[in-house]
Amino acid sequence: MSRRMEMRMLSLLAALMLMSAMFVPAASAAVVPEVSAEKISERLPPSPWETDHTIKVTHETMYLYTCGTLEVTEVYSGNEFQKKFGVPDFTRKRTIKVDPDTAVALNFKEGTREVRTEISFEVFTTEQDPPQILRSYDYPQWIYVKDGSIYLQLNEPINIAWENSNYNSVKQEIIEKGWTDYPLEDTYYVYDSVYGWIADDGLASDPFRLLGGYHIRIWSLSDGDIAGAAHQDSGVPHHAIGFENAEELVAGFYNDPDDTQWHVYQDDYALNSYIQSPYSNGMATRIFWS
Amino acid sequence: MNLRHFFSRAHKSRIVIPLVVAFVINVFMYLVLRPDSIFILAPRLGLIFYIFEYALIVIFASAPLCYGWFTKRPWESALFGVFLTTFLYIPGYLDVLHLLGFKEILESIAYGGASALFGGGAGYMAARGGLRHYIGAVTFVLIWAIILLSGIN
Repeated sequence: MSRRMEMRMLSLLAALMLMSAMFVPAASAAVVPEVSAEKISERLPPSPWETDHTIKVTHETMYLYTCGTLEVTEVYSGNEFQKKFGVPDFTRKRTIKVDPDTAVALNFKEGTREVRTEISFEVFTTEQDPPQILRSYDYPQWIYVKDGSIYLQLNEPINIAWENSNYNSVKQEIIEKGWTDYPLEDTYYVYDSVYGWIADDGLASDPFRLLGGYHIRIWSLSDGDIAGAAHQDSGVPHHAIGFENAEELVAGFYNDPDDTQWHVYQDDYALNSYIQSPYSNGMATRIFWS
Repeated sequence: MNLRHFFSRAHKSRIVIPLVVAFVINVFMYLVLRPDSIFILAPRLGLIFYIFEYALIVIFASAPLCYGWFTKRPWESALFGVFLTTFLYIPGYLDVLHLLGFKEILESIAYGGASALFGGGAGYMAARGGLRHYIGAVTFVLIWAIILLSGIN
């Protein structure tokens, strides 16, 4: 490629960049609401159910690097776990491609297994032994990930709920804001006393959230209520980096001037699901239709 | 690989050009696909925006391949692929660094490293020319895309 050609290419790219800047008004940063000072619903001491299901386990994370692949295997095991579930462990396995230079930098040797072990306390349950949280709260508190028939509680709270409303209307308000009904996501669960374990239905500010975005999982419960877990995603690989801002953003979709029949009550219901980081005040916003 | 030769003054442009091009492309991606922009563009454009986004990601994924194909300079194209991927992930990492534990940091580095390797590999293979290398480059682009999708939850 000649120097003149290279300069043309660079000019073209610079023009492209300037054009893209025109798409984005400087004021756009104000679109996402700021988190305001608010009530906090502290995490309560564990309920009898949680205490009963909290198990002291040996949490072993194994890293095995072979042929450019890093295999991360997390195994939760212990006598108490084996006694309770009749299986030796709960396993989560992930495989990540790692180039040789990075492997050297991280001190991974080909074929060598590295193991990190810690003792931890986790909440485990089975399909037939669901959380009894619905007896004391109107909505589920936490969401769960599944491995076989065992469910592990995640540190991700339910932070929004709709009552006296229709599932499709709830989704419609979110989709109207340009969110997609088909985001790329992993499936998480909540437990309902009638329906059992329910898989989530996801909506997101865009399907990939390549450079970050907002994402909500919703579940239609047997009593007609709808529970939602909203969070802000970082850029890929995704991590939840905010709960309160995502909750306020979604709640705001029901507060438009034409939304006269939606009534939003910010941080209205204490679910005692406080998280320090990323911050969650443990209160769910409730939205009613009338 | 003769690094001394590659990094000599005569070849400085072979680092600067891929660096600048990768940076400019990422600035464009950042301006169009950051959440604030999507909040403005998605409601106005609807499905068109999502088609545009899909197309942009496909073009982005195949950019190292195109760069290698046009320039025919293998190491420069490999560098371009590495820079392009690295710049893409930096804003996300900066967002979450304070929230991550040792394990998550390790996974994130492995994730970014793997992506950068395959991005660079695609550029290198495409620049070598020949059907075999082009097939290799396309395979690397596909693996790059699979790694990207594996990070979306």
